Amino acid sequence: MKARELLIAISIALMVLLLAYVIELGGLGPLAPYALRDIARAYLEYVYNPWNVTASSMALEAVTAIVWDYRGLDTYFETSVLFVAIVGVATLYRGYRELRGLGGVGLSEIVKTSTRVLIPLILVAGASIAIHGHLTPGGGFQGGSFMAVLMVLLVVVFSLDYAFEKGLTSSRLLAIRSAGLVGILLTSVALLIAGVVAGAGAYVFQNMAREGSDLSMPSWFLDRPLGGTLFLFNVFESLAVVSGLTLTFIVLALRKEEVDQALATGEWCE
Amino acid sequence: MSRLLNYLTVFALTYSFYVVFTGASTSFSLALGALASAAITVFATPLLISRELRLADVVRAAYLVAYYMYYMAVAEVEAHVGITRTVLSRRIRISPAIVEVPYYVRTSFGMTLIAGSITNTPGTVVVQVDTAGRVLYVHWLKAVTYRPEEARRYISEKFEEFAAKIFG
Repeated sequence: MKARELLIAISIALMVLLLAYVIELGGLGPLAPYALRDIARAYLEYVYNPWNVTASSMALEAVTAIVWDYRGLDTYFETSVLFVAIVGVATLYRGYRELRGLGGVGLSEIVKTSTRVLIPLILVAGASIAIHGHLTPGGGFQGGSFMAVLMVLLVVVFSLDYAFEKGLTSSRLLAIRSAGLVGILLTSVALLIAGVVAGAGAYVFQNMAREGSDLSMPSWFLDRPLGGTLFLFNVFESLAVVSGLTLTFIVLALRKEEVDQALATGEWCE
Repeated sequence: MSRLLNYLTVFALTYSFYVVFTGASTSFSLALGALASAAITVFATPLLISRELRLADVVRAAYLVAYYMYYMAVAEVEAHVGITRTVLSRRIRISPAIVEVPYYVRTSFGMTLIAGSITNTPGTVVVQVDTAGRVLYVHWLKAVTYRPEEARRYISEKFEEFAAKIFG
C-alpha cells in the first residue's frame, strides 16, 4: 500500500513538473498571443466607458458584458440549447404522471427543520448573485444554479410528494422556464420594437445607444451602473435556469409508479 | 393581515442575510435586495412559520441571543476542553455508546435546536431522532450512564431550558 501511494505521489509531481517544462519551452504556444491582447484591452477599455457610450455596455463586469452584450446572440442560443436539453429530458419521460401519497417521507425532522430555515437564505443569496451579475463575478446562470440547489434539497429532504404539494409541479416549472426565455427574447428586441414604434433606427440585441441609433436602455439605477439589457438578461436567465434545472432534477427523481405507464406505452397518454 | 408579523420576521431574516452575504452598502444593492427579499418572503413564510407570531415573542428572540452567547462562550469551550484533554492524554479513556436522550419541547424548531447544539459540541453526536417517542439517539464518546433521564441531565438539560424558552 505504501509503495502504491508513493508511486501516485511521484507521478502527480512528475506531471506538474513536465507540464511546467513544456509550457516554459513554449510547447503549448505563447499563452496569450500578442494579436489577441489588443482585443482584450479593447474590451476592458469599452466595457464601462461613459465617454464612449456607443461602444460601451456600461457594466463593470467584463465577462457578463461580453457574454450578454458583445456576443449576446451567441449566449441566446446557448441558453436555448439548455432549454432544448431540458425539453429533451422531459420528452424522454413523456406521459409520466405526478402522483401524490406514494409514501415518500424524506429525511429526519432535524434535517427538515434545518432545511426550512435555509429556504429564504439560499434563494436570496442566488438572487443577489443574479442581481449583481453586471457588477461582480456571477450572473443569471450562476444565481439560478445557486437557487436550484435549494430545490434539489427540498426534493431530497422532504420527498417529491412535498415538492408537488407545495406547487413545484412540472407544468408550473416549465411555465416559469418559458416565461424566463420569453423575457430574454423580449429584452433582446425591446429597443428594436421601441424603434419601430417611434420611427427611429434600432438594432436587435441593442443595449446602449449605438451608432445610428439614439435609443438606449437605462444605464444607471440609483447610485450604480445598471448595464441596461445585462441586468434584465441576468434576472430572466436566473428564473429560466432555476426552473429548468429543478424540472430536470424532478424528472430524474421520479418514482417507478410515475414513469411505469409512460415507459410501458411509450406514447403520451392522458 | 393577522400574520403580518410572520412575514415581517421572515423578511428581516432574509434581508439581513442578503445585506451580509452581498456586503451591500449602495442604494442599488439595498433597493434591489429589498425587492428580492420581499418576493422570497411571500414564498417562504408559509413554509417556515406555522403559528401566528406576537409582539411578545421579542422576548424569545432575546433568549436566542442570550443562548448564542452562552453556547459559544461556555458550552462549546467546556466541550472542547474536555475533548482536547482526552485526545492529548497518554492513556485515552473513552466509553463510546449510543444513549437515549428524551426531550420535552413541543416544536420541531426547539427539537432541532437541541439536536444541533448536541451535535455541534464535540463528544456528542445525534444520530437519529424518534419524533413519536420524543427521543434523540446520541452517540456519546464518554458515556457515564445509559439511563435516558440521567443522560439528558449530562448532555442536553441546559440546551433544552433555552430551547423551551426560545421556541417552546
